[in-house]
Amino acid sequence: MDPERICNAELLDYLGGRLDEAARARVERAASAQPDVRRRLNEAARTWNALGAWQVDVSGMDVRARVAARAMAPAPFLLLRLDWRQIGRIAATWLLAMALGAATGRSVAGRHVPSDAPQTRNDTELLSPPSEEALANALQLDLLSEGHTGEAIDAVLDSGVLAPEEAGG
Amino acid sequence: MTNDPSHDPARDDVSLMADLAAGRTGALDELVGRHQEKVLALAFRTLGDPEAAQDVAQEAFIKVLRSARRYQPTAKFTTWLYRIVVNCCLDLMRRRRPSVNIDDVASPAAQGSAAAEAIQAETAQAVRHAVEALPDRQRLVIVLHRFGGLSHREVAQATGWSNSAVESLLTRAYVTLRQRLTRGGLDG
Repeated sequence: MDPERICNAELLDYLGGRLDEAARARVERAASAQPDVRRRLNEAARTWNALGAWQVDVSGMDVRARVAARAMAPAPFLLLRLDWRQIGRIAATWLLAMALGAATGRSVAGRHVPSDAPQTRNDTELLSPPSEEALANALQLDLLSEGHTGEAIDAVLDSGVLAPEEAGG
Repeated sequence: MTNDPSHDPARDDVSLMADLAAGRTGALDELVGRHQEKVLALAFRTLGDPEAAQDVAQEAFIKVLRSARRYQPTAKFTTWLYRIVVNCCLDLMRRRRPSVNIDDVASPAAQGSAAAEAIQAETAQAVRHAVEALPDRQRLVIVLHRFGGLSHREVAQATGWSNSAVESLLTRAYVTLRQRLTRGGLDG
């Protein structure tokens, strides 16, 4: 039968009383049957016992008051009191609100002229000076609606009333 | 704290954590009273400084309070608590190096005047020197395993390191300690 393999951590757990009954019996069986396991167990036991000389006395320390004071004190910053999921939810809500606001803004801007700057082709046409041909047509319509004849209208148009003004004139 | 008349040993740590999660902060005082001695001893042995040990203990219990709503009792409460303490110790060790000279820390045994007590104090100091000289991770596993009463698997849970890493750290730490203590005539 192959010898049972016992690792050093198992030997240390055995010394600390941290093994269940079956594991403890396995270590003891191996220690009695295998010189190497017995030697390692003895070495570990000596070091284990030597370490036991280091006792610390913390009976004079009591952090209850300090902990209670810290627990009652408000966190310096609200976000420090939130866990990551809460912060994530707040960030997601904020981004959603921003996106909805932007979408609403674009929708409203589509129905109204938002600024003085020319935005469309029609705006550009409205802000540019009318052409001479457009003025002639408008004047012709005005004269016809006032009952003038075609000859009289031609005479008015030929008189140069629509010609651009001379600089400084 | 354990002498507090309001202390109710029938209530387990998990139900106290449930109380804490429900906003009954009185449960924190109960938890601190139950576990501060082990937490302080663990931090003291790891850091070698009583003031730092108290700072770490305070920080660890505040983290318990703030984590109460997320706490899941998948492991023993003490293993979870030790993990918090270990992380606080590691944070502190990273921030301040080297740790205080352990010669400056009064040993309770050194306060006696009898010869036997003096020898015991000398032995204790030699052990403390040997443990203090270990690398941080080896020192932590020794403190958790030898003095914290954890098995090597529980040490792995408390530190977040693998079982094999903890086995290796424990083995190396014990070999180093045996060599140092043998040189000092304390081992064997």
